[in-house]
Amino acid sequence: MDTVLLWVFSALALIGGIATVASRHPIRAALSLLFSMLNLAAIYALLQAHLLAALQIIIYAGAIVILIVYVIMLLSPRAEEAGAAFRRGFLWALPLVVLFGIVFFAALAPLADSERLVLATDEVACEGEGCEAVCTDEADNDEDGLTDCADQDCATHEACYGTVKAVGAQLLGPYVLPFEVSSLLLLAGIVGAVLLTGRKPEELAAEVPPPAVELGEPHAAQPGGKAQKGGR
Amino acid sequence: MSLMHLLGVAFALLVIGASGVVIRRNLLVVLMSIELMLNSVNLAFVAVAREVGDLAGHVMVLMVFVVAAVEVAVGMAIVVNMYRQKRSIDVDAFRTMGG
Repeated sequence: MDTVLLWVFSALALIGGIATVASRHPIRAALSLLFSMLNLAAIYALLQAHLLAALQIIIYAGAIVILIVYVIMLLSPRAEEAGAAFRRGFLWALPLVVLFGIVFFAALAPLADSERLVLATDEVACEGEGCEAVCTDEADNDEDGLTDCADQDCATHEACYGTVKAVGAQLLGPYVLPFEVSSLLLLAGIVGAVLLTGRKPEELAAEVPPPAVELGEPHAAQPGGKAQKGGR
Repeated sequence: MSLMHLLGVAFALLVIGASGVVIRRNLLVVLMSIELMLNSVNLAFVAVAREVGDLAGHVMVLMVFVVAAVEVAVGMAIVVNMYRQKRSIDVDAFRTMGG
């Protein structure tokens, strides 16, 4: 069952990706991207990456695609840019891309006769004797005040694998430095986006405010009356 | 479904995204294709993490989420600036460096 679902969601994710690249209208491309992201979230859930499945939906579907759609609506109110959607000579590029893909798939060939299969129902390797009995989410077997999934040695056990508690314990334990540095990256991104799109204070000061609408004089707007300050 | 199948799906998504970067003229769709490539890498991380039973891959995917969010924020700012300059987001309109 899980295998069938994995195949179905993989196929749908690939279809969404192809539709993203192939559709002429940017909005349609963005919605295809959203479809692909949601299918990938389903694949993550089947692979027991529960936290990542939720974050995939929240961050990608909820933030990134929405931002892209906003920018599309901001920039291109017309249905389609003039001209073709594809660059000139893209038929020459496609064989090269396919060759790129063939090289990648050739790199996978050594894995083709791998005996180990991934199934969402498979047991994750459990280190140590009797860890089946030790690691449960509710109990606190080593009595350190944390339930077992928050402990490092239970993080990869079947009951805890991929849960918020286990991934969070990893994130704030061994990987706390990259986690903190990523906040610096986010801060740099915020500052960069504001600097790139915001206007400078002198530009804002030089900008003439739009003329006030004079009530009762419907024909007050003379051709020269409206300030011609449309440009940036 | 084996690890190889999942990695195959991830590579196929990567190739689709790369082709989008190469052949599309609309700058926004190029950025979307880059998002697609980042997602394919995420899928490969999750699949391998599942195979080896380790959570380091999940932490790595979280880092990729952060990078993708920053990339799209800065990228959209750059796209808006480019549109202000040339009234177009066609990548072929930006060849002032002779490309």
